[in-house]
Amino acid sequence: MAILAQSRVCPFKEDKDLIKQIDYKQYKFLKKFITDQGKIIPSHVTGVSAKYQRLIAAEIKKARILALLPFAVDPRYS
Amino acid sequence: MNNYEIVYIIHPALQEGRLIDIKSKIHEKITSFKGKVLYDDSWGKKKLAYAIDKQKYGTYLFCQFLLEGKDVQAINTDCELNSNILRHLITRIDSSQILDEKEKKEVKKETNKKEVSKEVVEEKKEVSEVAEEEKEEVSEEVVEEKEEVSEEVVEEKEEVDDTIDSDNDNKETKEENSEKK
Repeated sequence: MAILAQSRVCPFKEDKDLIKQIDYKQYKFLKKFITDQGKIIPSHVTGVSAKYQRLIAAEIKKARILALLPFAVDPRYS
Repeated sequence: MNNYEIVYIIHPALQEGRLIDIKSKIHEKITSFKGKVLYDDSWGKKKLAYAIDKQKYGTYLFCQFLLEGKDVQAINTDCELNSNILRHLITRIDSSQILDEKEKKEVKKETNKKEVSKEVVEEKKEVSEVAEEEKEEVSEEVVEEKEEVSEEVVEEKEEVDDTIDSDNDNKETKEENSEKK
């Protein structure tokens, strides 16, 4: 069962300033796209289009290697 | 020649002198392959999202450079063999993503310190002015209270005097009566 997206429009569509922020160094911006457990949020929940979801996922994985974002978080102990 | 950037995490126990040693080694290696360092910066000591080699903190260093594709592997092996570098990541970037010198975090820190000191001085002045105003108000209130108290005392005295006078009058009348008798 797919949950309907919060917004129908991708926030990155034709917004160059936002697209520049998709970077592994901008981990504070990328935090919005991970859950409290550290998992990447699927696009049918956030409403992001497929092209930008791939970019976001690739940058989150780079940030995880550099310990800017976690791989997994136990929400009981946060 | 392609543009690359490298981020590497250094063991937190190393002091500034050793940090500069490691940085200069990597810069020399880049220039020995006829490359060029375009930008370098230090993000300082940061808490890691998970422990690496049982360390919870690490100093982050960042560098952007120009180099040929076949020579990047040499820098990769250098970082792997150096036991003080905990993690590293080299990525290829566009020429549009190269940063200016003004955006260095070290430069920003110095300007922030100057602004913070100015703000502190201004705050102290404001606080002293407010304290003086409060003191004046308090002194005025005290003066007013004293006046009120003195007025009350004066009123009480008048009442007492009145009663005494009335008593005296009664006594006089009594004496007169007695005398008359």
